[in-house]
Amino acid sequence: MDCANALDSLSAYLDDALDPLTKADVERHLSSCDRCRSELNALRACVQAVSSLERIPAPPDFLHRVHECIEHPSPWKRLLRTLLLPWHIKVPLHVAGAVAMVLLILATVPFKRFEQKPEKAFETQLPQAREEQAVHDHASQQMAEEGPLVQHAPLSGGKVDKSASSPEAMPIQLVLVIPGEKPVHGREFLPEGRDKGSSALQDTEESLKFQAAPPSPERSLPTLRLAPQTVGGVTAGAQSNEQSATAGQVVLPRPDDRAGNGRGERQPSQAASKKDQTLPSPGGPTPAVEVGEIKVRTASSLEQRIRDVGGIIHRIDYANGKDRPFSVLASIPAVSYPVFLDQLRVLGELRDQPFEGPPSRENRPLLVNITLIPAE
Amino acid sequence: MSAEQQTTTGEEEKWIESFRAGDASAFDCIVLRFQDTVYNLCFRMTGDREEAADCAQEVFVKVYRAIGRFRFQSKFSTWLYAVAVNTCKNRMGSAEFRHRSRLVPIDSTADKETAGIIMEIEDPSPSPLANLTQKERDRLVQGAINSLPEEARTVVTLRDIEGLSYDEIAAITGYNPGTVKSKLARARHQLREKLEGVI
Repeated sequence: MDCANALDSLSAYLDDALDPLTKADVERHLSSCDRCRSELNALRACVQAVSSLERIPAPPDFLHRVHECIEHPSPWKRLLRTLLLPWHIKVPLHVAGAVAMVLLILATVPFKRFEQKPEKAFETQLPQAREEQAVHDHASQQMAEEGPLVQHAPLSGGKVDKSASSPEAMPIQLVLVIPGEKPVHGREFLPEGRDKGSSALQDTEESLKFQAAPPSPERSLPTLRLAPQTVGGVTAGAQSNEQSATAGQVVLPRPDDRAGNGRGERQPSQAASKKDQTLPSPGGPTPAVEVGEIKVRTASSLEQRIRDVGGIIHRIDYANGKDRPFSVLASIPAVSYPVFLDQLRVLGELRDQPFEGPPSRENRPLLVNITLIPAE
Repeated sequence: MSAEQQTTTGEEEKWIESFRAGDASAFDCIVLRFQDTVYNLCFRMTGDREEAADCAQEVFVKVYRAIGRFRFQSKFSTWLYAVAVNTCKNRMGSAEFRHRSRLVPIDSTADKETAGIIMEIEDPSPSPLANLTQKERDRLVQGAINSLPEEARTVVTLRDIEGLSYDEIAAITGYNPGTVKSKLARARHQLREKLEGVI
């Protein structure tokens, strides 16, 4: 054994903690090494010095202080004790807290999600939204009853919402049969409000002979009045229940004049009273013309009638190679739709018993597609 | 283990059982039995009487709260030493302890317990000079212990002051006996170097 190994074993040698073989080796080395023997003596003296240190007794009131600490722990120490809980206690507490939080979230969130029933949610909506919902529900019900004729959008400020002309909208299909051209007898009806001579019109514009639809036995046409600011002094021909006296005289309604019950039906007495309200032309007295002999520009006339009822034209399709319009897509306020139908009947014959319009609702446009077909 | 220790162990077990049965005075017996041992250990570990008192109180408070979980798988004294050593380590690691360690008491040479008391009777103990020499030597030894690293201080205190065996130290500190032996050898070597010229 060398000195290094002997020095490492001196501490255990002092405590008699070496195995007999090692102890014998150490004793053999110590007997021959003065330096290691001196080191052993110094180490023994050091251990004796430490072991002989005075034992310091506890303070006399130690037990009382222990009782004080147990019975009245300071809040700070109590907090520290809580924070420094052993892991085998803290971890289950934390896990239990996390599980409780998850259960609370799972129990609360779905409850709040479905707590608001549809009826209750509807009650909490704004009045405007509630009204729109009611309109939508009504339209849905009506479409279920009458078929998907129109997809409407709210009309605000007299303007038609763009969604009304969207490709997804289902317009009301109207087929208007325009009578064939015949010799003109009487003055031309110009929707723009200008009264031109028939000869000049024949030279410059393509004209269509207009013939009012024959009176239907089960349905009578209303008396229509032309708005003076838009029609001018021209009076278009139309039939009414009392048309015998003024056959061919069409009286278009004022924009604010609703026809009868909103469906173009008017009581005979009302029609008779309105008949006398035909507006005079600014250019002089309006000459009456016969039904079926009025020659009009179909597109302009139709456009004017759409405007008269507050509608907006979205698209005009023309027949291939011809100037004559083939179809017109427009938005018509629902309240004016019956009047508009009456005006179309002035221009020609509506085929296939057209949709007469929904129940009167304001601020609701109807998308209408009018297909113009020349009479055979 | 001596017969006295066996008897003491039997007393401890009886006190513990009595305390668990609701006898609060049994805990007082435990405190009175071990307070000097724990206090002395804490003082040698911390090197400060106030710190030692606080540590010793904390040790017994911990024992009071945890004694219900003691399963007698080891000696009660070993378990108590382990609690005391860990409490002292935690306290020595605190900022408050490190701050106090930098302060030097101006009355360190005076014995606080006898300060102000006039002793007029015959003193059979060694002469005052011998007492002063012994106290100064103890102070230097304690200073050397305090300068040791924490692990070295622990094993030196448990072995050379408390007189525990290697196995008991291993049970208290969690080291294996071989590690205790090597750590103790290194600590004693450091201590001898520090006390060179003093002893």
